[in-house]
Parts: sequence; structure tokens; C-alpha cells
Amino acid sequence: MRNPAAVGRSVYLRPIEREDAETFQAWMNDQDVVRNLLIHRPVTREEEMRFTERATVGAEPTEAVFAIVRKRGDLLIGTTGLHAIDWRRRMAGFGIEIGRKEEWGKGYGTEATALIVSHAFRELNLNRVWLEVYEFNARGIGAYQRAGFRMEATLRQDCFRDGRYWDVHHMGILRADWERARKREAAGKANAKAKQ
Amino acid sequence: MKTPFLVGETIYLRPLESEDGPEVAAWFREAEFGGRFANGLPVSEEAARRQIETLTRDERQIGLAVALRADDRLVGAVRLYRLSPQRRSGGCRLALAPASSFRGAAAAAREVTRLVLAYAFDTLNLNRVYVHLPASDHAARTRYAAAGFREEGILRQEAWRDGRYEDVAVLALLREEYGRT
Repeated sequence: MRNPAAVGRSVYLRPIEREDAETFQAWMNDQDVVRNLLIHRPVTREEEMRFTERATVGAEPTEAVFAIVRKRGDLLIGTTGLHAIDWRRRMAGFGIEIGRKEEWGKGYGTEATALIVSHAFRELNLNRVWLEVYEFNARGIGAYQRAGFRMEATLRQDCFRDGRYWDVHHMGILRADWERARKREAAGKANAKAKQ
Repeated sequence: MKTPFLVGETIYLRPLESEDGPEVAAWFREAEFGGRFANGLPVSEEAARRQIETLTRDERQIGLAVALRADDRLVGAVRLYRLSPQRRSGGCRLALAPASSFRGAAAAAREVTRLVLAYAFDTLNLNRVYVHLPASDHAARTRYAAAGFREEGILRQEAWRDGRYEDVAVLALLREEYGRT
């Protein structure tokens, strides 16, 4: 592992480095990938360089973006992070993409989401993390629910893809939700141990 | 009327000018409970004028001042924000002077909403207009529901006001619903 920031079972998060830009640019122009994202314009090398530059040395106090790396083979598979961090309301927006399509459906997104949520509450002392996901992105919705996000609102027709409008789900997780889940997990582990 | 842009019966909407800043920024701060103007920091009159200049230059926003037809008095402002030409959607926020400071505030709010919605759907060709309201403000939620907006959900602890978190209600009106009520 290179410079790990948060380590899960099969993936870890590391800071973004300048040389990641080329890989990212290919993903950010892949229609299968960006279909689930806010992007709908081509992304030039220069724009991608600006993004990585900001993530690498920009020290923006409102952004915390990481690369997702599969432990096996130390393979860069995506990015995830917190955006629009609001230090007064102690909340941030969550974003993720697994750019390497062969790695879809393997639970890496769920794992990376849990790592970021934990980073938000454990390290950044936030109170709320929110996200928006398109109604056709079943993989995403499942991953976010498993990581503890709850549906809060359904924004009707707030997305346009494939020639029609789609609904957008607004999901959120509060520190209180996260702490409850951690307690349940700890109790479950203690129970399992007692039974042994 | 001074540079009227959209004209109602008792009020009209005109372009926001930087000199409207101090008053308008304060009304928006009040209405936004934690939005871009309310980050908990002091706002000088000069900063307020600049905020309005920034708003008027931002392609994703359209701001309008609300003035009384009778005497041109500035009594509020409204802004469309997060305008997206791709999604054809935008948020709408109305900020009026305190109801006690001018007569017919409730009627004015309805009139502004009607004018802005007509502009949003018929001129800007939007498909969706949404509002964020404090979940506890049942009067406002009822008012927007009466204008045809539908409740879409509650964002938990989305706002911070007076030392505590507050829930925020999301309501939206779609083009296909506009004009039905």
C-alpha cells in the first residue's frame, strides 16, 4: 500500500497524486461512468489536471478527495470524497465513482463509502453527510444504504439522461445514525464472542 | 415604477442593483438560515453590495428586487439559483421585508411567486422549480402547496440556526403540474 489514509478489507483510500490525472481523464469521459455523475460535458486534460492539482496540493478546506485503490495488485479503481464541506453546519456532500468498470459489482464502492463516512465523523467531526443519486443507479443506492445512508427526499425529474427525465434520491446519514450502527456492531461482536 | 421587469398588481420585480445590497442581503440571510449569505460571519454594507454584484453576474442565478408599485419602495427580493440548463431546473428563494413593515405582505408573497413561476416556466423554459423551507415553517409550506408545489421530503439537520440544527423541507413544482391550480 502506498500512503494509505484509510484501510478497508479489500480497498484502501490514499491521497490523490498528480500522475493520477491521466487515468481519471479517461474515466471522466467514459459515458458508462459519467452517466451516474453530475458531469455531462467532455473533460479536457487541462480540466482534469486542475482537479488533481487542487486535490493534491490545493489544500481546499472544503474538499477531501481520495483515490480508491484495490489492495490486490495495488490497482487504482476510482475516487471518492467529501465536497462542499460546510464547517458551520458541519456537513458535507459525498461523491464516488468506480472508474474501472471491470471492478463494478464487487462491493468496493460500498467499502469505500463506509471508509469516507467514518472519516467524516471520526476525523472531520461532521454531523451530516448527504448525497444525491439517480433513480436508475441501483448499484449506488444499494451501496449507500448498506453504508447507512437513508432516503430523505425524492427530487422529481431532477436528472436528464437518455432523452428523458429521471428522479433523484437525496440521501443522508447523521452522526447519530452512524454512532447507533457502530454500537449495534460492537454489541453483535460481543454477542458472537459470548456464544463461542 | 423604476426599470420594471415583471409587473404585478401591487408589486413589481426589477433588476437587483448593488445599492440594494445591505437590505436585500439581510433579508436573504434571514430567509436562508445557513445559505451562502449566512455563514455566521459579519457582513459589512460593502460586502453585501458585492454579494449582490456576484449574484447578478452568476449565470446560475437570477436575482430580482421586489418593489411596491405605489411608491417604488424596496420590500424584498427573490432569486432563482442553481439554475441548470441541462436539467432545466432551479431553486427559488423569496426574501421579503418583515411582514410588519408593509401592508399586504402575504398577498405580495403570492404575487411574487406567481410572477417568478411564470417567468421560470414560460420564459426560461425550466422543467422544475424547487424551494427549501424550514420544516417547522408550516405556514410557508402550506402557502407553496397552495401554489401547486408538492412535498418531496425532509433533509434532516440540514440547517443550523440559533444554536441548533433544523430540518429542511423540499417542495417542487414541475412543468407538467404548473398552471393546474
